[in-house]
Amino acid sequence: MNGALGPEYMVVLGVFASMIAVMVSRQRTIAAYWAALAAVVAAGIWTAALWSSPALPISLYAQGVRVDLFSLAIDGLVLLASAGALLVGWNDARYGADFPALVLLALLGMMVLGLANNFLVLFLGIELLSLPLYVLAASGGYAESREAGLKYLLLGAFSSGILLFGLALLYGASGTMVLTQLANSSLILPLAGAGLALTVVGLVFKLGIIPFHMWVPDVYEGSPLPVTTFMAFGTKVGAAAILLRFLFYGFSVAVGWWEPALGYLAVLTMVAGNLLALAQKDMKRLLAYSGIANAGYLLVGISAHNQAGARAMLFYLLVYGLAVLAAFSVFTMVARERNSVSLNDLTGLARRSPWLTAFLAVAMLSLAGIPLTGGFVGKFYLLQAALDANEPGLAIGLVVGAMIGLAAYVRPLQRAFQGGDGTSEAPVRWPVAGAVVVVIAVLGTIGLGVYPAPIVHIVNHSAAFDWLR
Amino acid sequence: MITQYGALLIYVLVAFLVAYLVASSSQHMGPKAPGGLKRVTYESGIVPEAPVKYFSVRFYRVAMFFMIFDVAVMSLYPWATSLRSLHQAGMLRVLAFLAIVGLAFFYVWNRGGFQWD
Amino acid sequence: MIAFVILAILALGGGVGVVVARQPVHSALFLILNILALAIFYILLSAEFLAAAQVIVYAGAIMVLFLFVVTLLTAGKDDAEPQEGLAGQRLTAGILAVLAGGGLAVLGVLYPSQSIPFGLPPNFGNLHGMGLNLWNQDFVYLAAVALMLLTAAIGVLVLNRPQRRQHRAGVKGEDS
Repeated sequence: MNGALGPEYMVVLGVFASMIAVMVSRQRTIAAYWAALAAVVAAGIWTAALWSSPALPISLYAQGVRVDLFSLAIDGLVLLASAGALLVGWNDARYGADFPALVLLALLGMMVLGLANNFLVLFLGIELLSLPLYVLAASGGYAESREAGLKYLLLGAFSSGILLFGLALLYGASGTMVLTQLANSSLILPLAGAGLALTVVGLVFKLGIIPFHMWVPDVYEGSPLPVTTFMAFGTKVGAAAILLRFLFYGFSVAVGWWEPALGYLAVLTMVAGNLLALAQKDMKRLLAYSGIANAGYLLVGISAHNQAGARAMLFYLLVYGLAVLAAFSVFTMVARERNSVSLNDLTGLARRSPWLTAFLAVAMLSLAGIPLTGGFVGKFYLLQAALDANEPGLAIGLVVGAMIGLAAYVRPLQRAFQGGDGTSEAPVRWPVAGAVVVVIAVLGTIGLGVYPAPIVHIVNHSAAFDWLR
Repeated sequence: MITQYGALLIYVLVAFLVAYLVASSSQHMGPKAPGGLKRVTYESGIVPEAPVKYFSVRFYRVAMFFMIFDVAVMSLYPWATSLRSLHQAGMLRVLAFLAIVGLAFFYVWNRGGFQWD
Repeated sequence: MIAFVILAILALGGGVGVVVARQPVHSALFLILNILALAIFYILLSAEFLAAAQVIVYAGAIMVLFLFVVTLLTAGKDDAEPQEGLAGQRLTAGILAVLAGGGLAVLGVLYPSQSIPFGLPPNFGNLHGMGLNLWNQDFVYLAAVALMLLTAAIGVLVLNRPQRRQHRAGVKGEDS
């Protein structure tokens, strides 16, 4: 064992601790939040300690689980996402005392997805991730939230079925469950091809790539704000991680089967996602379509199928996540009692709360990919990976998508700086926990844009897939 | 393989037969007096009211808990049949499994999930 | 072979009955027939665990949920057939189903199956074999399933929140 799964155990213990805290404590909600946050921090420390362990990579459970630097990097990302979600929803009576435990359970699913090396673990990770999120999406208690939960559940269950069918066909075709044991010779063509197609569709559905994106805007709009934050960052990391694992570890033996398809999907998603984002008036929907478009950027890294692509994807996940955390925590502060923010709510925000507007501007500009923010560096690396892979189409799609996206992201900023005489509305209140998130996320975004070297170093080590180009 | 289920098949058939005989015995043996109050759904002497409009969603909660319990019990079937070969480790594992599921039910109990308002 | 034919007829009849029956309760009963026939199929394939799961979980628990939904939805409603939202959807669905099934059959004939190259371990699929795997080296997966059950329990609490009147009256604001 030697503690390779320590972070996961910490999270499981955190779930139990959070539930017990709810049962025994007099101030149940705050106790549950503290227990969950402590577990996240402990898991983070353990992950950092494992990073320099000489025993890596460690395979456990008949190679079902593979702890390596890639899985640790994913751990770090999803721990950041869940810490952000917990702080954004910190001790809010609306989400109830069950919120932290459910967030931790979904976090466990995301971490499992990072280290899956086996069809079973893959499926269990997807389900562990999805089940708490179905509940969380519906936990708002108002009609849109229920609708979001139901939609997510139905479509998610459907996609899980497709995924499971694909995995079963793959097992039947190859005779092994372990990804790294898939060999070209053992893949019987029609069966393995159908299995691969169904599996990729199931995974891409979770990621929200365009023909399978219908659920994303409705679910993001209906869910409570901290849940949307968590979904936008965490789910994307988990789905991207498992897609990369599945294709790079397992199906490197048959690149020609999936690479062109994913490339076309990536271009379609980047362009169409940003176009759809242009028309949105609700901020949650805007970020939902932005999430779709960003999933397309992530897919560029995967379909480039080289080491540079994997690195760029990991880097971009962090960049995207920080921007999303900053934007959503600002929206949570602006929304206060309500659960949505429209363009009209932002009018005159610059006069009411200049600092908040500045933070929102950084987040939006990073999503748009303006220099000196992390978003620019992330897109730059993705572009480089696409060109390295001799895929000019991908690069063109990325640039076109980013240019359309710029218009979509600047619109809320324009509304924030115009109108409002500054006297009618009180300045926005800053809860401490939300302020911590927004400051860290904004500092991280700018830091990644100005001095990305340390993170690039980490990413280079964790995505060292030396069997690739 | 299938022969060992032959006894079960006979048992099921006998069970169906007995159930049918008991249920239909009154029809075969009792006197018949059709019409009148016999048409009423519940022959209790009280006239039934209008059909039920709302069915409390609380029933559904109970059904869901039953289902969770059911799945947990089903996982124990293979354990029960191979307990001898699993030795002590199997016992410890089943305790861990039941501890997780038990914590879930204890949590539900504590939060009032089993209360029928 | 005889058992196979009888079971196939039963299973197919159940499946057709689910679709054709006018009353949802009858559909549910036909579904039970279908499920039981499939369970015996599994026994014929010596997949005892699947058979047990089929009977206990599907015919037991899931069917209870179905019946609850049927009661919840149809209480006090008449049996009038609602208008189809999309014109001709049943016909289209039938044609598509036939096409999909035919396509699969054609594929199956074109690419005849190969024997599984690695052979089956002893006790494959029966209760004893499942127990040796599930409660031995694969226990982690079962623990993950236990955590999913825990998620489900919390989820029921969150979505179908019990009213707590006398219970801790001090923290009222917590329930939405």
